[in-house]
Amino acid sequence: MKLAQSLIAFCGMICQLAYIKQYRLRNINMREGHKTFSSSPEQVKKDIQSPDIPWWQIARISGLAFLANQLLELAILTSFGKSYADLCIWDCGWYTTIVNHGYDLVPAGHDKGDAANWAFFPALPMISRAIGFFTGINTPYSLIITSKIFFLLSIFAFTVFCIKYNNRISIYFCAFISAFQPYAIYGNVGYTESMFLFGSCLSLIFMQQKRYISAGLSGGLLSAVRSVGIALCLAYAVLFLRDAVTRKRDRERIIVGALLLPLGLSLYMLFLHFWVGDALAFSHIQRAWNREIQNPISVLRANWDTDSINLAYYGSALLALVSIGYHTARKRFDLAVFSLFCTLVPLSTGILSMTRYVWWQAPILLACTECISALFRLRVYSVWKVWALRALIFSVCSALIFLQIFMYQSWIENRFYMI
Amino acid sequence: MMKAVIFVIFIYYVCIAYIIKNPDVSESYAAYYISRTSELTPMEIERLAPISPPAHENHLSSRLGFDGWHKPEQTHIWAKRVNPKIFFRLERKNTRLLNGKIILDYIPIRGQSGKIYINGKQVGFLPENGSGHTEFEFDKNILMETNYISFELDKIAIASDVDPRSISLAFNSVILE
Repeated sequence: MKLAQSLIAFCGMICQLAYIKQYRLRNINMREGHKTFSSSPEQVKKDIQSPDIPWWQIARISGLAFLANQLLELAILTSFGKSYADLCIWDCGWYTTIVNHGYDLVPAGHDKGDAANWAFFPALPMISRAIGFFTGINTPYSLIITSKIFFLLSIFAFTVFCIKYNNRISIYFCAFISAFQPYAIYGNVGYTESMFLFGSCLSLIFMQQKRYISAGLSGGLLSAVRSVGIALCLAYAVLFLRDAVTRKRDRERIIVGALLLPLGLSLYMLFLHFWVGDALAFSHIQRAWNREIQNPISVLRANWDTDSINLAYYGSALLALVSIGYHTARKRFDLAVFSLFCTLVPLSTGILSMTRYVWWQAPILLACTECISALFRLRVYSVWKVWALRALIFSVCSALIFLQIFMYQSWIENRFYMI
Repeated sequence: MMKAVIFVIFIYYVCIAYIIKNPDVSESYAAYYISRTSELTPMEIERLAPISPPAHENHLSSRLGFDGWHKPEQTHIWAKRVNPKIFFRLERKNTRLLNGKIILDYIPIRGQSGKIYINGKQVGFLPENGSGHTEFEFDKNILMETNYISFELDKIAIASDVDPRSISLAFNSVILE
């Protein structure tokens, strides 16, 4: 227990150091009676990130953030007396059936016998199976390890993604916010969230660089991770529809890129047609979970109550809508439309699991990172404001760490709201 | 080269669109998952124990699968829509034992009439203000391993002022000979 507490305190210290590092107190002018949180203009210019940050620096910081996350997880699991295999529950259990036995021929799950594993897309189980095949580890561990690998990759990709859209943003913030966001647990428990974040960041980065075929290929892979990966088509259309009409030289490559985006989903549909006879089986099988298409506004209205779990779902949905408005105001229509689709589609089938659908979207994490980064760029002139800001940083970091502990505890206890 | 790639991918997606429009699934699967008109899952239908003719099954029988019906009451079960179904299964060898006759006991709502089908083929009708007992013969070759009796009723009503359920017909029992 003491070891666990020490590790938790250590992780908290790493997080806080990382946050404060960029903003060292300089030029404290006690005679003038005020302090500047950021120092001379020359220092400020140095602190502003150059767009040409070496990849190894991003990798180093991403690795540090990931390591801190893993240390915290290890400390929590140790203190609860649990192992990594105990994390493979809920959807991870369904992925285990796919890795071990393949996709069901007929629905037989749940009491009514109407559930099948068709709702779970093939990218994660395929990669997990490959990892399990080459390493010899069992399926739950291979799923956990796959999600962790993509968690690390997603932190790196998200940091690069942030810089592409805002080169003034701190890469420390990007890395640590993605590693310690409130629902970071889903990056470690054999879910597709980390793979989805990685794939979406990768494709959006390629779109920013006008690498149409690469964007299409990475988007095509993303559509094999989750069905909402198809939302990249909307972002692609927003960015390149006009170019496809006006720029003859790039037109063919733009079209090929667009055609590649739904490739993963279409291949899965083809497989389902030959396997079970229904190409849309992944959607139709949602009936087993009582999910049917409704008006998202009606879903929000129906779930408004003061129950803390529903509030978390509700709050996440509202956060998503606010972020969409934020990106729209900043004329990032590609991100806005991507996020809108990724939010409204799951919301139209119910409010369950909205937290992970929202908090693992790159545009929403970017909006949060930019807001926090802007807070740190405020010039504060009084001593008490500096200390208030430090206290705020400490409180937020501590709250995030305790939230992670709460999340893991709820997960280990199989709480339904973590599904 | 790019044009050829575009053409090939486009043809591929046309094929995908075709297979989406034309699923190759059973009727019970389509009814439950695609059109969502059925409340019985294909597995629940498959799990029904086969009946052996001559069979007398009432509304509480576990060998009948009720799709579009309320919960069973003491003497009957009410249908909740105008096209309810009753599923049953037969063993192949028992099909030849049938005479192709069905005897139905039911309670209609006032002014109710309609048609009766077996496996989608009309075999009889319910007269308006009928007595609640009807017999009809049918071609036993239309029977398969999994079968259903379906109704196409004209009216639906609210049960009463204190019971807001929609009802169309109450089923008591069926005899299959």
